[in-house]
Amino acid sequence: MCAEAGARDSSQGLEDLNKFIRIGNRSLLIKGHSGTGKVTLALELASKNMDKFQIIFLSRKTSEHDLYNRFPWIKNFVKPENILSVSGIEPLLDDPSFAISNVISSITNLTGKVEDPFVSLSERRRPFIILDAWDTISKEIDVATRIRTEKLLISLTDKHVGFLVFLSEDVETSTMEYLVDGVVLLTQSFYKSYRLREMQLDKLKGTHISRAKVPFTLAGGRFRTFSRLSHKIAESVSKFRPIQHSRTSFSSGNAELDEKLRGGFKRGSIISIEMDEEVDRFVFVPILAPLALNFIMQGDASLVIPAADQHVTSVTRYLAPHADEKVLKKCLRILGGSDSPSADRPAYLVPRTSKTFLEAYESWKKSYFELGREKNGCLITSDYSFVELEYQDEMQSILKSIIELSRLVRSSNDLLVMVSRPNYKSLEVMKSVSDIHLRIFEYDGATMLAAIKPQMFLYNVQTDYSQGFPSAALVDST
Amino acid sequence: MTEHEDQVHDNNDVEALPALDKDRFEEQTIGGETGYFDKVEKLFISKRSFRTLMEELLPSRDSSSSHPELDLDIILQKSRSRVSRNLKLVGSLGKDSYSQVFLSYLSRSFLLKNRNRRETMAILYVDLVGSTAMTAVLSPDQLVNIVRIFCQEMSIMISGRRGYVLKYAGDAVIGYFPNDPDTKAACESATRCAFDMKRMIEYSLNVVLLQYGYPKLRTRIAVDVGENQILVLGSDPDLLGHVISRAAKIMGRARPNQIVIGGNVFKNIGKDLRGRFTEIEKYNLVETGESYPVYRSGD
Repeated sequence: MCAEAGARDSSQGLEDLNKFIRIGNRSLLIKGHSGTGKVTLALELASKNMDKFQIIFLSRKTSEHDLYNRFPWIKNFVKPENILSVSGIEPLLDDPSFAISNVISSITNLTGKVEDPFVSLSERRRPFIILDAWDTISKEIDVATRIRTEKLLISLTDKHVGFLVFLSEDVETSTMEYLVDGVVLLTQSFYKSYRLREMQLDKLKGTHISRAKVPFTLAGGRFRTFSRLSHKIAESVSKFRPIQHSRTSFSSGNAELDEKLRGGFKRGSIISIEMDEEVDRFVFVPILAPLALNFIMQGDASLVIPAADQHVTSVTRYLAPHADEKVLKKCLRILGGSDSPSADRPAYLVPRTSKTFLEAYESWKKSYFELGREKNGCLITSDYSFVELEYQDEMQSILKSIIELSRLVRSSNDLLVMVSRPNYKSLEVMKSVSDIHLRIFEYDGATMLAAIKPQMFLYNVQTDYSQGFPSAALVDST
Repeated sequence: MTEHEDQVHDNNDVEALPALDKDRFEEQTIGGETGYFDKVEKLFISKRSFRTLMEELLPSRDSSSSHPELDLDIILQKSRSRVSRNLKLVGSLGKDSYSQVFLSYLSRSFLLKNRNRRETMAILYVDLVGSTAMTAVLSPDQLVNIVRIFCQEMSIMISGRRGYVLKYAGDAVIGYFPNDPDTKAACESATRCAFDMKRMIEYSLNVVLLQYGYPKLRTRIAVDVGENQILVLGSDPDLLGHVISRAAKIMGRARPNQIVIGGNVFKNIGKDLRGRFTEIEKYNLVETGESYPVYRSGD
C-alpha cells in the first residue's frame, strides 16, 4: 500500500542512522543549538534499537519527571532506574568527575531485571547511553582531560559492545568529531512565521548516506523526517468518501486541512496557489484531486482546466476511478481530450477547440454556467501559468479574466482555485485577488504547503492512498 | 535444617534473607522495589520474585524429617504453570532461567565449601530419550526450548529433594545428593527424586506439551552412590569418581520411562522403595572386575 511506502520513506533519514548503529558503530555526536531536537532524535534512535540495547539517559538538566512529561512514549523502553539525573542541587553532584563516573558506571554495570525467575533469561542488552549536554560537563575540565575522558568513554562503550550518543550544543568542529563514528547536525530556520528543521548527516562511518540533508518535524514530541513525494497510487481502488460541505464553507476533502482552514474554504472565495518551479506537479494529486472529488461526490460541480501541456488522462486517472459514472457525467467537466474520437470520449471531457484565449475563456464560462446550474456549489481549478504560455499575445485578456472569473465565482458563492508560478504575471494578479494564498515549495527534497495569506499552517505533503483514493498526508512543520 | 536450605534461609521469613554470599548478592532498591543485585550475572531480582524462587526451589521446610513428604499436587501444579509460561516463549533462543543460574550458584557454593574432600554422595542421572528423533518434528527453537524446560523442571525436583544440580550434559541432567545426615538419607532422597521426576514428566510436562501440540517426553533415570572427590579445576568445582560414570553406564539398562539403581543404592533405601525394584542382569565393573547388581523399576 502506498501509505506503507510513504511511512518507509518518511523514516529514510533515520534509516541511514539506524543502519549506522546496526552495523556496529559505537558512538554518535548529535549537535545543535538548544531546541533543535537533539534529545528527541536520540530517543527516537533508542526506540528503534530497544530490542538490542538497554537505554540509559544521563543528564545534568533533565529529571525523570521532566523526561517522561516531554516524551511519554519512551516509558516502555527507558526505565526509571536508567534515567540518571545529575543535578546541581548538591554541590558534589555538580562535580564533573561525579557525572563522568556515573557514565562509566552506566556503561560497565548495566543492570538487567529478573521478571520471572523460571523463564529463559533474555539476551543481555547492551548499553545505549544518551549523554545529554556533554559540553556542560566537558567545559568544566581541561582540554587534555576532556579528550582523555572522551577516548575512555568511547573505548569502554566499544568493550561493552554498547552505543554512546553525545548531545552537544557546541556546533563548532571539535576534537570529538574525530573520535566519534558519526556526526549529525540539527538546525532550524524560519520561513515567514514558520519553523523549518533540518538534519544534516555529516559523517556516518561505513554507511552510505542516501540523503545528507533531511527535513524533519518535532510535531507531537516525535522526530519525524519529511520524505520525497511518493508517486505510488492505490493497488485496490475505492470510491471517494466525501466530507460534507457546511452552509458557509466548502470542505477541502481533507479533514486536517479543513480544521486549519477553520471549517474549509469559505463559499465565494478565491484561492491562489503559487507553485515553485522545482516542485513535482504530482502534488496536485493529493491536494486538488480530493478537493474536486469532494465536490462531485456530494452532487456539486467541478470544472477542471488542466495545464495545456498535459494529456487529459493525467487528470482523469486520479478522478474517474473514484466516482460513479453517473456522478462524473452530471458533475464533472474537464477541458481537454480533443484528440479522442467523440464516440469514445466520456461525457465529462470537453474538447479543446479554441484558437485564442478569448475563445477558450468563453468555453470555460459556458461550461461553468452549464455545470453550475441547479448545483449548490461549483469548483473551478485552472493552471494560469500554462494559459500564459499558451496564449502569450493575449496577456491583458488573461489577466482581466482572472478578475472577471473571480467576480463571477464570488457572486455565485462558488470556489475558484488558480495555480501559477513565480515570474508569471498571473501570479501577481492572483495574489491580489485571492482570499487565501498558498505556496507549494521544495525543502531538501520534501514538498511543503504553506499558507501565506493568512498565515495558518506549514505542512509537509505526502501522497496517501491508504483508503484506496487520493488523499494528502499532512504533517505540521513545528 | 539442611545445609542446602541453610545457605539461603536463616528462617522462613524471606525478608530476613539470607545467608547469601554478600560478595555476589547486594541488597538494592531499584525503581522503588527492594531486592538483590546479582553482581556476577548483573541482574536484579526483587524480594517478591526471590520469595517465589525459594518457594518453588525449596518447597520443604520441614527439617524434622530427612525425607519429608512433598505435596506433589502443588509441585505439579506449579510445574505446569512454569512449563506453560516457557512454552509461550518458543522462538526466543534465550539463556537458562534465573532458577537454573541460582541452582548452579547453590551447587558451586556447596562444592567450594567442601573442596578437596572425598564425600559419599548419591548421583542421579536423568536423560531425555529420543531427543535426536525429535529434531525431525521440531524446529531448532522449539527443541532448544523443550530441552531447557526439561532441564529446569528436573533441576527443581532435585533441589526439592535437597540435592544439587552438578551440570547439564546435552539433554541430560546430573544431580548429587550429599550424605546428609548419612548415606541412607542420600540414597533415599535420590531414589524418591527419581520417582518424583517420572511423575513430573507424566503429570506436568507431557500434559502441557500435549496441549501445545508437542510430542511426549520419555526419560531414563539412573541412581548410584559412592565416594566422589570434590575438586576445583580452574575456577569451576566438579566431582571426580567412578560413581558418575557408573550411573551413566547402568542407565543403559533402563528402558524408556524406567529407573535403574545400583546395588549400593538398593542396600541403602527403605523397604517400601526396595519393593518397587527388581534385580536385572549384573553389570561388570571394569575397575574391579566384579559383578555389580543393578535394579530396575517397573514401567
